[in-house]
Amino acid sequence: MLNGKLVSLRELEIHDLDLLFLWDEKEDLYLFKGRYRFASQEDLKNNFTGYSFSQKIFVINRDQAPIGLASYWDEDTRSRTCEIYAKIYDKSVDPHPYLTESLSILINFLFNTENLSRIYTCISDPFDEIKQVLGKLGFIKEGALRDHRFIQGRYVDTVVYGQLKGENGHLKTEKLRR
Amino acid sequence: MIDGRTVSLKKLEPDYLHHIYKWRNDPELMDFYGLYPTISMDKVHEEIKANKNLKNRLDFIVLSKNRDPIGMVWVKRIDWINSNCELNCMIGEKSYRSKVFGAEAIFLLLLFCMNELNLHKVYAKIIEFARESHKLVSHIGFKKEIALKKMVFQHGKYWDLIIYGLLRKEFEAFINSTQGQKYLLSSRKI
Repeated sequence: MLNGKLVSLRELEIHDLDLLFLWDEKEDLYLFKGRYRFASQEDLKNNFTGYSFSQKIFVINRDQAPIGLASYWDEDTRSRTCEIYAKIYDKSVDPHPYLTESLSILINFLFNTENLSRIYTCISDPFDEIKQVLGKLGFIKEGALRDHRFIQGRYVDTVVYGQLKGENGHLKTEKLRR
Repeated sequence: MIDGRTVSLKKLEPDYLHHIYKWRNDPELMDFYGLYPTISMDKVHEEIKANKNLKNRLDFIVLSKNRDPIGMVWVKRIDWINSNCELNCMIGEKSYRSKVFGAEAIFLLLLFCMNELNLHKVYAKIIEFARESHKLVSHIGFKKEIALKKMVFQHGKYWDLIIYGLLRKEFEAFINSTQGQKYLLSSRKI
């Protein structure tokens, strides 16, 4: 378990799928996009081992109750890079402080425990809350992939934000953690 | 088989195992793909079989005019919902490593991606130092979209990875250009 002041991150377990399914009904859950679109709860449970191995998924806990998800995937062990993402699904809380701390914990874990040298995130939704905290955590906008995703009947750009270990952003994250 | 003026594309079969083994063990060539230049024949065979079963990948062997295998082109990460894929090209035979053969092989594969797979976008990832590859994709009409900072570790240092994209409308514009017409008129599908 990765602990912070406001939240803790623990690995996703099969019993969490019931909750994920509830969140998915209210809002498209990014974990189910693509591979598990329209999958039943039963399908997800049966395939849980497969999909929890293809990416590392953490449940964001606040006072022992799950409020969102954080994850990383596409880890390149040679170049030491991976993609990350986090979202607060519990609508009863202000997402920003929890999202900021969750990402800060995750970044610290990836740079200082997993020894990665670069992390990045790809955002296609212009209203995604994560965009408001990326700058604070030291991510730099690297550019946009044109027409890269098809959402609600039209092609939209995907913006890529990156952060290198040892650069300003990494120090900012350290400061936030303290 | 997809025929062009100087090259043809044929679906990859294990018959070409020895050629692929040779190319995959060429350190100079593998530099551009971020792959280790040491791989056994068994592993290459396994890789060909495994890739054949993937729903989001298609491999083709590039044949010269006299039907000698000279390289490979492939598309991977075919994303049917977002309608895009990643394109790769590897001309393994040194004597064929000029823009002519690579450009036509890419053109034929793009034709397949747009006209047969009905994709909206094709993109290519090219390591910073692969100067000829940058020229090659720009020549076909790809636009530089992003430079991912220090994304690839090679020869003891980190390099940027550049992503180029080509949208369907841009490919159509290329086809209507003088250069595109030249490629198009000499291509045919058997």
